[in-house]
Amino acid sequence: MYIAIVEVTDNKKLARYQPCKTEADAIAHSEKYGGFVVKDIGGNSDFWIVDKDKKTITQDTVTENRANVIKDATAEIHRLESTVTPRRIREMTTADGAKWVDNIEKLIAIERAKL
Amino acid sequence: MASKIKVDEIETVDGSGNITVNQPLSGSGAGLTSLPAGNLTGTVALANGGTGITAVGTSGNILTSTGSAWASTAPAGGGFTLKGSPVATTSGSNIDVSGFPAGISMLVIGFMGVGFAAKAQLNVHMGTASGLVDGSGYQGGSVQLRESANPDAVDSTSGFTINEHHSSAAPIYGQMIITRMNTSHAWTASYSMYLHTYENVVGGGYHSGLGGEFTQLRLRGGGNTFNAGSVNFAYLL
Repeated sequence: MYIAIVEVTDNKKLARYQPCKTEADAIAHSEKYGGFVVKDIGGNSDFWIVDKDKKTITQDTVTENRANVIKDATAEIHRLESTVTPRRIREMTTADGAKWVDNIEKLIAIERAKL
Repeated sequence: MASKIKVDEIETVDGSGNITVNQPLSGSGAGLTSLPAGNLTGTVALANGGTGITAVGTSGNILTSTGSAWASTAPAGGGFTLKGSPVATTSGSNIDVSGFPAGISMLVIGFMGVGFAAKAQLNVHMGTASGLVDGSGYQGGSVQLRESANPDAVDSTSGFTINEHHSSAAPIYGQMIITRMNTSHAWTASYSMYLHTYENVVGGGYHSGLGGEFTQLRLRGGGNTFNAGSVNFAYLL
């Protein structure tokens, strides 16, 4: 797959693009609507760096990996928080109940450290 | 003074069978017993009782009077048109759909068990003839509601987003309704999805202006692979 990149944002993200099955199709699109042609590198295009001067796209894996870590940690925090129900809070009057919530707090702390 | 020639057969000198007539021929046609349709060519002009058009136009078009002529046009006010058969979402990381007619004012995307190999965030990108529109102009977001869990919310500037933050992939059922707001091709979207099981996603958003007629779209899995279901499209012109 090839991509005719028609427009790029100021922060080097895709603004307008046309996926094409062949390089010839992409070149034809580019000749009609402007821009340049690159080979599709796959992956999540939210994390592509599009350099219109060099006419290249590269995957910003550092930013993508960081975003995925934050997303997963946030989801896990939400999951852990949702386990501390009113019944669990009532049970904190017992030693076992208090320990259970303390353990959840420790797990949440681990996830927070990833953010 | 009129004269009359009576013959049984006229042949050209070279035997080609083509006789050139340089002056108009007239007659009642009463003696014409056969005129095969295959021998007729050209377009019957409006003045002669024909349509005056040479092409039938896009599939689904109807013959419409403009007041002074006939034209092949898309039906207006006739309700929604279903765009062909469902499009499978069983492979690839993007689903591209093109061929939408210009002039659509409302689009409904039906999701029938759209699934991913892993948890994913699905984005819908709209596009014009010059290309699909990515991270400029969108404002959108969605909230995931789950049984016995806090809601997850996500904002996005790169498309109309259906977030899927749970730990395993879940088929998506529901519909996204996208409506054109003005002649600048600004669009708004709203959607409500059921993610099997015990989860729902609701969301909405807008794009400030596509810069042209909407004609194509992409369902983007954000680098994740589609592995189940299908989508279909109904539109209102």
